[in-house]
Amino acid sequence: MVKRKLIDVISTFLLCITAIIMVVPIIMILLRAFGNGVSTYIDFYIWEPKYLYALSKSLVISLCASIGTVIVSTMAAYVFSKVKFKGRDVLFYLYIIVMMMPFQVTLLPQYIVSKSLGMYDTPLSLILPGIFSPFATFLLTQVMKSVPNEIIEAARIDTSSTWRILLKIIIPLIKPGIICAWVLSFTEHWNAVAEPLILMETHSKYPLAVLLDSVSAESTLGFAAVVMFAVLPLLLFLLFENEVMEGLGEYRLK
Amino acid sequence: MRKKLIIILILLFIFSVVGFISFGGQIRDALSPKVTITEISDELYGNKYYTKIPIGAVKTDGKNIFVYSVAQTDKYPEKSNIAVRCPIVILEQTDSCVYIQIGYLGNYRYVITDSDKPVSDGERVVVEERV
Repeated sequence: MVKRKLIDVISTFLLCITAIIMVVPIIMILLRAFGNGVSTYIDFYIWEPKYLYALSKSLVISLCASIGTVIVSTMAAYVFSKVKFKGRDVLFYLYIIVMMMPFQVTLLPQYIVSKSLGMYDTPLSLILPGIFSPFATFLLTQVMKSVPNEIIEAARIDTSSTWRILLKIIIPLIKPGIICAWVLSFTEHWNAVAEPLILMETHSKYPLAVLLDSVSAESTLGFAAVVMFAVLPLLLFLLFENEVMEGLGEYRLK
Repeated sequence: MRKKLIIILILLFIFSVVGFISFGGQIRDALSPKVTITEISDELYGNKYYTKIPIGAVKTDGKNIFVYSVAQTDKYPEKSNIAVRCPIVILEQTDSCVYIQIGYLGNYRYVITDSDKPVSDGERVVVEERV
């Protein structure tokens, strides 16, 4: 009994220390970001707009890439999960292999392709390769496999259009999975640092994630930028918490 | 209720970013001091050439004498001017102007002679009138 209590005390103590280690940086950021009150945010929005502009670039790149990802991945997932053709499984395993590869492996080819297509140093160099995300396709394929084939066969009686089946039957059924893929894809592009550094060279075109590495401990403006950077993914997660959990749960079950 | 609040916060976030990017220039213009700038010239005074500065441009903080010149900056997305504090040494003085050594202000050819608000070094200014 005493031994068990001792273990409880030690584990609680260790958990408290871990919690403090996790929370202290966040508290430090908040204290610095709000230390000067509203004036830091007036500077952020009006007098020092470089972070605001970088934030807008992050917003555009992440929104375009994540929406594109969801559109492309939904169609690809339908093919991988519901259409039977020769070599489908091999193709799907290739997708998984690409997903398992570190993204740095494909950065150099992406750089060469974007240079030759004239997209280098433009947001398109981040958006277009970002659209073809193997993870979102893999996730949505697994989610779509849970849709019974009988529903699709029943729908085929009413319509022969695959588009209508996809839009009217499958997408409403796997909405949480799609939202989950969108939120994860948005966050992935929002947090991207290496890709913009390789595929862009003009400093003023960088998204906010890249500029945050120049934030110094003395700069309250930099900490305000950090807070603004964290706000949107946090709000998105809070808004779609259930869908993300449901989507990931579906994916885990498979 | 919670979802509605989060949606409102997300929309506020997006509108604030888009709004301040779209209208940031106008807001900055409205908040910046409006100044009148005067071109400085090199003139003969007595038997020597000096740079002539209007007396209205000369400021002092109790210790140093200086003028504010204007320089263009690329800190803002729109074309903007900032005030640059330039210390001066007065060599000659009349009721309407002071004379300083030629070239003392470097490449700056304009000084701020009037403004609707106090100007500080590095502050963004809007040039309303050029004399």
